[in-house]
Amino acid sequence: MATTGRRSGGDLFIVDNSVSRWTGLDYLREWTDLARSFDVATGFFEIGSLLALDGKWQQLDKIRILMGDQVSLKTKKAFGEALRSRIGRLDANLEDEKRTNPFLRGVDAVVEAIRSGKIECRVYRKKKFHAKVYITHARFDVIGAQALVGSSNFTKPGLTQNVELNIQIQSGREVAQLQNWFETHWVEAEPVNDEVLRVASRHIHAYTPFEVYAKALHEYFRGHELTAGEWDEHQSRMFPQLDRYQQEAYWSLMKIARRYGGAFLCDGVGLGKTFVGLMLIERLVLHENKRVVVFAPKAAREGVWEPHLREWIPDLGGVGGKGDFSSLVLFNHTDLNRKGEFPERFKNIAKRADAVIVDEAHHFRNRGRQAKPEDEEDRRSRYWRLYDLLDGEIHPKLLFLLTATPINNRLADFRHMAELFTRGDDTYFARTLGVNHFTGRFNRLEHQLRESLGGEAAALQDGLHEYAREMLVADRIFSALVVQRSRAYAKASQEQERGESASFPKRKNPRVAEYSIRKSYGEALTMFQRAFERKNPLFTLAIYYPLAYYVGPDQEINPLEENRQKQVVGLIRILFLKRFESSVRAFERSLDRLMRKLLAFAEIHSESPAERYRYQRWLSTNTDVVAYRPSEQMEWSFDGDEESDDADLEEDVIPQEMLENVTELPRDEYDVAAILDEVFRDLDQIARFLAFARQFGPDQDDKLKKLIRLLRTKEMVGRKVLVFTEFADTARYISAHLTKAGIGGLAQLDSSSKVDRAEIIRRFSPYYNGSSSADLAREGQKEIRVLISTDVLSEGLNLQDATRLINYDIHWNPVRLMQRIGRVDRRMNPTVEARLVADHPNVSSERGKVAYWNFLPPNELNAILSLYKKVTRKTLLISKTFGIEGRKLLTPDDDYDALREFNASYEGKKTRAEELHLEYQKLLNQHPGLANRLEMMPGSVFSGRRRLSKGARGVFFCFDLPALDKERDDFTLEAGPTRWYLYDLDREQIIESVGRIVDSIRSNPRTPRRCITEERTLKGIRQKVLRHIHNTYLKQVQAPINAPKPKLMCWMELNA
Amino acid sequence: MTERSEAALDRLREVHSADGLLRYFIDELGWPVEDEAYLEEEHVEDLTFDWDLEELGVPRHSKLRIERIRQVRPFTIDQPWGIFFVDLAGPRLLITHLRAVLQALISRRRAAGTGDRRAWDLDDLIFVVTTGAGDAVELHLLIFFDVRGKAEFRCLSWRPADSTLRLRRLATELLPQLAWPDDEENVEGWKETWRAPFTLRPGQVIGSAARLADRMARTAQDLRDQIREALESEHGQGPFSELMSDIRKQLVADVDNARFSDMCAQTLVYGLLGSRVTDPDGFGATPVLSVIPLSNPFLSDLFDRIHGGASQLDLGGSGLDHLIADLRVTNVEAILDDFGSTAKGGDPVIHFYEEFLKQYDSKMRADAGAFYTPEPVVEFMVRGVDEILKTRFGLRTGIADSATWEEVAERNGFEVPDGVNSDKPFVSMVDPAAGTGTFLVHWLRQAKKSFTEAPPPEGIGVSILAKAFSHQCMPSN
Repeated sequence: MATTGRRSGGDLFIVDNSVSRWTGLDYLREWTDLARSFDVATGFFEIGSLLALDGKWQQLDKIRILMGDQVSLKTKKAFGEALRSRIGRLDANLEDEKRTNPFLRGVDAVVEAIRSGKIECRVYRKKKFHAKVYITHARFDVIGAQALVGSSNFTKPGLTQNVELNIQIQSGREVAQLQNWFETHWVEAEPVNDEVLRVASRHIHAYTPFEVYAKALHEYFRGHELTAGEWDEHQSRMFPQLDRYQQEAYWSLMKIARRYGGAFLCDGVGLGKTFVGLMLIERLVLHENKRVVVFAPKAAREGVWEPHLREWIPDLGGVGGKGDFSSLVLFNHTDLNRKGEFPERFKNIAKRADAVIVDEAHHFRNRGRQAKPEDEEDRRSRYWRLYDLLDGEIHPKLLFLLTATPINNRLADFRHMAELFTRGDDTYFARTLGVNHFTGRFNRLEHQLRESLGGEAAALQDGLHEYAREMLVADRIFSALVVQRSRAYAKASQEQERGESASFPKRKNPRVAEYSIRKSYGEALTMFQRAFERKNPLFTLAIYYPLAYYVGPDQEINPLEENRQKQVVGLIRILFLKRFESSVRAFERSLDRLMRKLLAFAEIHSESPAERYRYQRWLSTNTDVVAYRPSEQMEWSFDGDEESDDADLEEDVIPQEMLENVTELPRDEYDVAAILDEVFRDLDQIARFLAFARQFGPDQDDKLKKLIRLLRTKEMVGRKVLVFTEFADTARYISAHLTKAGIGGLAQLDSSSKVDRAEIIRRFSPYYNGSSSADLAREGQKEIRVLISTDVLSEGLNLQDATRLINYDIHWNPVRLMQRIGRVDRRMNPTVEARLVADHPNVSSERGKVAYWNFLPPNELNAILSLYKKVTRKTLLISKTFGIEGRKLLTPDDDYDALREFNASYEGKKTRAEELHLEYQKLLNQHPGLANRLEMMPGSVFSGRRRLSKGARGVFFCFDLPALDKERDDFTLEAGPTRWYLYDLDREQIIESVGRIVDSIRSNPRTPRRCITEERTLKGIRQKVLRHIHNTYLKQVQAPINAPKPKLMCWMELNA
Repeated sequence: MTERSEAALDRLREVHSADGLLRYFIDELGWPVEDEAYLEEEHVEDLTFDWDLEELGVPRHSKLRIERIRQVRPFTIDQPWGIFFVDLAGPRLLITHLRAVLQALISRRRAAGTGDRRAWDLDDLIFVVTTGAGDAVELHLLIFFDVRGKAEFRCLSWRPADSTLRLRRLATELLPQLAWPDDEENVEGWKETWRAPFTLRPGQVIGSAARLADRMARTAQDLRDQIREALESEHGQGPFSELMSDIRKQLVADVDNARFSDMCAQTLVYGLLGSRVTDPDGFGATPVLSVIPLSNPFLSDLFDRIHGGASQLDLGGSGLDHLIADLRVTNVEAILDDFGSTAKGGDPVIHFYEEFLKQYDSKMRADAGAFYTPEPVVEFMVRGVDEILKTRFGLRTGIADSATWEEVAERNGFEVPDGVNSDKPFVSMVDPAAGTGTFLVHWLRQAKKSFTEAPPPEGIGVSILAKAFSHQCMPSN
């Protein structure tokens, strides 16, 4: 026995946790059998030391624990801090203890003992306190008191692991001296029993199922729930303008961008992405003193960004107005390709910009040509120029990408945009998201997608399939980088926060504007249809598909190239069909262009006298057709300085040079004679069409006449009307004839209009673009009432002044249709609305209501759609009543479904995560102070309940997991995700889907706590889940051994 | 020997598993584990990630041989290495099975798969392979090289029961080079240091006959197992199966898969030694297979098939090329001379086969009766026969005598037995298990001696050869 001083005087009795074979713990444990009380002086105290003595210390009558600090604690502030640090350490120790002792067995006894005064704790504050002594008072006088003096803190490591040096003092006189010393300091120390109690009891509190449920939600949305900072609340001007869901977007974007270097905002059209963008700009420039660059389409820059900046943050500068100093600069997307001083400016920007915001970022979804900048002529694409500008090696930058369509028709669209900040590093998300190969993962997803869509694969071309959307939402990278909320979520969030979603207009059901193609085209329609009945519908277009005539030596034709040529031909045919339906003028232009292209080909390739003769003869027989040049002939290509939005549709598949240049085909490789035969067959067909089209007058045009009639109806007169068509030719054509028909306040806009687009927008929609009718009048500007536009206007602009929208073409692509509707059906601003109605009281009744018309030829619709199907092999289902796509066939009964489906698709479905988030928001609103309480809760909070009737029986866990924190270059829990796990006891499997788990754990404040499962069983299950995490998540992110361990935040048994 | 390295040696002797080796690295070589809880028995699993064979896409036949694959968790975030534990069933290090694992772990330019798995560069991988079990457990530490697009490996292998000398070398010279570096930033330096202990092979000088036999035997064992697997995976349709069926028709009717694989392996490996001795300059200058002499139709057939690329045999991993490299730099002549002079005398290439076989498979050696008969015994037996022929049968030149059955029968007064052609020579010699041919050699020596002592009227050469038959099923002769 060490305690009885068996060693003869003079021999040191050493307790060092190592070579002496005595640990402090053994020493104290033996004393608990003999002693009546302990007096302990220590630097640190951790409850772990008492837990290690559990069952033993209870034999004592009294334990006094005197702690201190290595710094003097004279000031109240210092003492407060020290106390906090002491208590914090106590807290951390309890947290730690839960890894092995999840229910903190033994802590209740300690708490009880403190409460009863059996254990007393004090903190010495007069001076630095670094003393360690353990005075053990024996129950029997024959043994007396002894003391251990040295280095061991009253903590578990101090008593068991560290190499310490303590020696026992046995002599009664010396012990008495130590006792005196202790008493002196004890008296001077301050009691902290309450603080210790508070900490300890917090951990052993019996939490309710509701608390665990709310805590799990709280942790799950940890990233989204940054609370408004001081600056947000009090100084920002944008912040109060934002709706709750927009504030969330702003916080999330900041967080995502800090973590990954880039972030996407992909809310649907009309949800106010620009406002979030303005918020980002305000914060970055004014609060964080960052230098910010914005790239936007010209129209959006001039029409939206600049006026908004001037209006909302006038002192920010950079856009004229009242601000002089500025760290903000705005460019058009197309400036990236411009020459002159631009390349030099962008080089400087690359060196100095701290953040880059790209509006309508989907313009960077294709990477295009990557030539070297040193090449004689810099032919790099816009994408690669932006890529170079964003080079973080030169200067680190945060990138914000704003787009409603992160995926146009391939998942690679999104990947390309993300690569602007991942810099092509496929392992970029390896240790943060556990995705070890970015391209590999997306290729696989794409593959899966095509597989599962099967025959519908082509559907992706017309916008993202619902299935693809779900797939992406579930994807780790996508969900980590993208803030994307459905319109449904935005509205619901608004309703929850404000009790109404007043700021979104109501959409009336669409109406059909009927016309007849046959009335317009007459026999030409039959001619057109007949042309589609051939094996090669409409035209052979052999020059676009020369590989079909390949006779060269190469045995294996590259299937990719062949497929591409086939696609090109298909697209050209569809283009003709669409233009035919759009307007005779659009059709005519295309015919003319194709004719000239074919003639150029024929000229080059007609070599033999017979061939030359045929060429010449064709020219002479068709002099009229060839000589006629349409007065407003448009170029096929687009000026580099202009927005090429119209071309987007084709630019994916048809390279510009292919359309522009006629390359000579060698005769030893291609059957040129056969191609020429086809060319002349096509030319003859074109000549017939052209001959007809040229004598076609507007008075025959039933569609045009219908539009004029429609614009003269009561619903339109005096209202702002937006007319959309896909083709600039059509836009100009109808514009010209509407003017003739006397429709006033008319303007027309397409990609090649040489007008100030922002100006047009402001004149059409003054109130939502920082102006008013009165302002315009003052400036001598004519207000526009009817705006005819191509899809150059379909993105990013605020045209909410209008409430009437006409789609002049059959809509072929639902995504486009949604974008168009989104121009007018967008978040309204109460201030602007008030101004507008004050100036124009006559429109007040229809504010907040959006109506739209779709042009449709009911009698010829089936014919047109079947032509479409013949070329694409896809069925397009367009409702005769609404003119929108439905999934079922065209029977009158299905029309309602068609609309419902369209509306559902437009509004978007709330995802499970969104629903959950709304639910969580609601909880916070209903229970003031809950957020704070949840924040203060310790880890490993445990509860139990009877399982939900449809829920699983098992154990629920909510873990914080570590991930690589790129800023700190180390793994942290803060950088990692929160994951839920449910161990299903009946199926003996682990469920990870949050959607499935939530229905098993949802609880309310009245749900009774009910814990009946044995602790041993619970511990076993916890171990299994930890093992599972180890071999799934931790393996995926390759968490190093020294990374923080997964931290159990809360758990709950779901018993039968 | 310092106290510390002595302790390291003792520790190494206690290492019987991959986990044990990891612990050794942590304790002795400073691999950093901050949280000591990991070192407690119940948390040791947290040091490794389990890798599923399914998830790695390991083929079915390899699955049976791979018991478990784990990855040592990275110690630090910038650690380039992927360190894997592979527990193989059975006693042999079979590279074919590892190859499937390797394929799944190395990064390719165009990533296939899910992108969910981490991948490594080939030269950043370290495998700790264990074979055998219990006391016979063998640990192999492997690293890999890319040789013309093909993964090759180098390894350090040992058994806890190996000689103290060998373990000491591991504990004090080789393994300490795998100490955790002070400067992790210097990745190139780190890689170089850690790969250094492995460059001892190939091209390692073999110093003794026993080592040579051991090296050859191990190579042959691996090769044998691989050929057998290749053969079995052919399911009767393939180059090996064809070769085996030819052998059944022409050489040994009852050869089975095991024997066949064995024949091929021995032939290849022992053929190498022969080639090294007969053509020391040309040896190893050309690709693996061309170093082996093709005079033997069996060999040439075997090589044709393997060379033809039709076979699944993966010679790159078989260790043959390592052996070639080692043989090139080894003074084989000196070893064999030494072996011949100290042990047995006669042609050392021939005698050495016994030594090889002993290492390679002693059970088979017993089964086949391939035991070396001491030369004095052979000599005694041959001289005895010679003497009897001279004295009892009156054959003047003893075993060299070319008299026919008829002549001898007449001379000694007995009948030519039924079924014996009376025109055939009376003295003929059959050695049904010629083995190294010792009997034959002594027979010829004695014949020559008896003949010179009493020269016959006509020449001898042809007649002696006509009478000596030997037979040996082990085709390596």
